Amino acid sequence: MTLPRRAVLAAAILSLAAPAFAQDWKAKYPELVYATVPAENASGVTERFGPWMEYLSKELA
Amino acid sequence: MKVTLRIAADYAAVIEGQRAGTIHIGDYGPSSYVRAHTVSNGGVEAFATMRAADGSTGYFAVAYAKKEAAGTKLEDFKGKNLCLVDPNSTSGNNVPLFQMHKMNIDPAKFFAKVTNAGSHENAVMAVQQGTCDLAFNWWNSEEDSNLSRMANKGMVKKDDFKIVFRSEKIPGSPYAVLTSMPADLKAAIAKAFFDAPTKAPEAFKRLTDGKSPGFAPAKHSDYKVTEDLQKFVDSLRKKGS
Repeated sequence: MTLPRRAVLAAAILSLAAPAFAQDWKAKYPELVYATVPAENASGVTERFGPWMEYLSKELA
Repeated sequence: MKVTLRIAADYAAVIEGQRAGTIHIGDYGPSSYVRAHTVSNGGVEAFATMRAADGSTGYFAVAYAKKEAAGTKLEDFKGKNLCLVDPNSTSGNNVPLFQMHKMNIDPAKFFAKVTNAGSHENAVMAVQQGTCDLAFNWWNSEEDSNLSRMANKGMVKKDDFKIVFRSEKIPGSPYAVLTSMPADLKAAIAKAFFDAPTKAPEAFKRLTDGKSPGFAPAKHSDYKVTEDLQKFVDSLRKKGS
């Protein structure tokens, strides 16, 4: 029974630690920078990447 | 969390930004990714690559010529002008040099002039305008290439060009995060990528011109073949050719 108990304990520690950890990275990474080298010239880039950046920002909020 | 786009002038800028930790997600070609991994001592790791229309991963380097140009294969263009893309471009530089080497073609001697066009679009435009007779470019399939995307935007007519060379398959262009970022943040980023086609079909379609069903997982070891390619390119640079 040692292993399951350890696993339960580990899970409990993880669940306690998780929120603090999450806030930790949110404080450390208030913004993520996504870099690309466009194959196309400037005007096409905004069109292509604008909605994609909005989606990623929303998903990682 | 806000995700901000940085439009980099070249791959060297992305590599430097990731090495310095100021760029968190890098959109690479295989060669520039391998270089970033090397110069950062493993500080970046690939996590995703985009699938082609048929669900496969990987792409090709092709050489375009004008449709009416004499010649049907690369070997027919001796003494002409060649456009490459960028010294860190996989399909626009490294694979072309590696494959020409295997064909016993020394570009400096074989062509009259070899130019870096700066972007895939510029390379195609150079052929269109006649400043280059041949230009290397990325190519996923007949349906999706830089040329087809330019044609979709009305910049060129696809039928004005012909393919005179196609490379062996190249591993798919990777997206890479900083290895040092917390595991749950990296996992959240990867999840957002993999969920994109279902959660944000419009944004995903815009990103890919509707030519991809989604992202496939990628890992560093997928790029071993690119590391060998890089060694070849580095040996060329040391020779100064």
